[in-house]
Amino acid sequence: MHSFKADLTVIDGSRVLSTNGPNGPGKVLKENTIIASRDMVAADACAVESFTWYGRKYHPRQVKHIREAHRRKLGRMDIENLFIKTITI
Amino acid sequence: MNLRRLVQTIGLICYIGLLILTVNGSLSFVAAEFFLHLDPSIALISVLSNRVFLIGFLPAILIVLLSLWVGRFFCGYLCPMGTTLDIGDKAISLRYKKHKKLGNLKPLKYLILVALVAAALFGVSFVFVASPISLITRFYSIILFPLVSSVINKGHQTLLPIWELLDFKSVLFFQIKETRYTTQFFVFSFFILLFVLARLTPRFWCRYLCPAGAVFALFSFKPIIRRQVDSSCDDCGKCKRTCAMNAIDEEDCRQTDYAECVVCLTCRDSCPKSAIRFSGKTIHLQSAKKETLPSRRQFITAGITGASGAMISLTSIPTVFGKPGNGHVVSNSLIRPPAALPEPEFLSRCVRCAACILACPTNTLQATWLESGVTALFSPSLILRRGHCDPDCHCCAQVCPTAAIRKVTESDRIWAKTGTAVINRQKCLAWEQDSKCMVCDEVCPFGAIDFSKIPDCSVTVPKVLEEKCSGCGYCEYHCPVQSQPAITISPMNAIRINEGSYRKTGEKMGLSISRKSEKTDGYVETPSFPTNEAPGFETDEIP
Repeated sequence: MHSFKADLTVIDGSRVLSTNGPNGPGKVLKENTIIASRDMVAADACAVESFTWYGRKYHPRQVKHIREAHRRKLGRMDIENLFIKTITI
Repeated sequence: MNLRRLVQTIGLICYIGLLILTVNGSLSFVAAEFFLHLDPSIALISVLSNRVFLIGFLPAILIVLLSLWVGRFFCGYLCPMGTTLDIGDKAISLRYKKHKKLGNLKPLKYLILVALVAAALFGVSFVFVASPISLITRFYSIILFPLVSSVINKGHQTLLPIWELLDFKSVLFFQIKETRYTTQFFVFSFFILLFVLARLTPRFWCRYLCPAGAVFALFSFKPIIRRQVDSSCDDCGKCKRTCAMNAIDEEDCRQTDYAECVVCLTCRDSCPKSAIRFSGKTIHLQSAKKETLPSRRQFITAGITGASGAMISLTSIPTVFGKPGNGHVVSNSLIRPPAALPEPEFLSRCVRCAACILACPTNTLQATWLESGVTALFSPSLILRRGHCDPDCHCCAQVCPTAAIRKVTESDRIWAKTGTAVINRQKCLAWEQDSKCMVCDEVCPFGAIDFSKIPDCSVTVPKVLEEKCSGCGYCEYHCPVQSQPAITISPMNAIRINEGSYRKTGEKMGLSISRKSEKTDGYVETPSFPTNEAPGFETDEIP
């Protein structure tokens, strides 16, 4: 299958729907965070790691599509091995 | 390029430019309907059928009065229909090789005008079948515009590798929004017919059929500035062979049928003796050629035909008139644009120019075919499955040349109810398939969908709060159910009023339409966390 890789992935984490996604209604966390990466899988994985889901922490490998994307080499989910720069504005 | 070609070109560019500006409501409508206001047949028939005079018709009257002075100059210089037909003539390049003598068809245009007037006296406007500016606007907006934009898009797609090679990032994402329309093929065939008729004889439409031309002709039997031939004429007959309008007498080329002459000056420029002048000064005493008016019998027949056409259309089942209710059959799919006049007035005033259809940014506005009878042919209606009707937009009213769609104040806009949403429970994912779907509620700008728990159903199911629904069709457009959507807008309880506030009328009907507040931030739920993994997550196998 033809895959399309984004040059830059930006995830808006200013408000995070922590439960009952994707449609809600659910618990909304105000995180005021923006995640940006050249690696789209890493960006998604970072979003999983950065916030709490249903009140607890999860690892990206627990999310099926992220695991699958990593296996197909669309990007990396092992963000602990990546350099993540955090800027506070 | 002579003066006429120059004026024609500038005129056509202005006309198309104004049309392009209306596309997707891109500009604040610099008189987009300007050319429609120049058409005397639209002005005449609309005034007669609607018994109302609009200031917008003044330019048409001005042009008609000007034709007392210079004759049918509008036809030769400004009319976008005439210019388009001239371009068509040039394109098939068969001009003047041989053209049939169809002189006895000349009165036909008057008869068409008489039939339209007779129908208009009965309150039925058939002007859309023959008004040149309405027809040509329809041609440019629903035939040429989608054609050109899709050709440009296709061409651009073919050239994509080149842009990529050159790394033109900004060009890469260029795209004209492709629109689709109904009734296209009919309009297309009609214009093919006009171009074919122009092969019989140049400007067939303008000579024999155009009712606007007929109005101009009635006012230019002997204009002040007119064709005159001086004594150096040697009867070579070149002028009558070059005349596109067949306005020069067969036997004596000194005589002109001024009602046919469009002041194109071709005869003057082609005369080997330079004997022809267009001026107000009488050079040579000559009688104007006898006008080709229809006979009394033809006149009466045309009048009766028009009047009976109007009566028959009024007696057809789908024609709406009088009070709705008892015995009225109204097409369920016929949803008029917001703030359209009450149906009978709307139909008698709408000239079917398709300017609103072109202006509609969501492509929901479409031309009606025969769903609502002959009188509603080509009138605009909403196909909400194609696109929603944005409650913040009223482009259709902005461009309407005859105010068949009323301009309303900003606060009244959402109260101009176009219909009411109806849920088809047999198709609904929540009602029928126990599926947790709430798309209609999410997209509804008015919070008119209510979800409630019912017995025998594991999920909450939608219901329409009819008093909150404005008929915008967001729900119908976004409904994920294929083919027939599970929620549709029906024209029920649409507010159609001649005057007064839509808000007041709506409140009297017991409606309470307001925009849904977008505050969902404050939502606090006591989450009941699942004991095993949360939905979407899996047990971590790697420790």
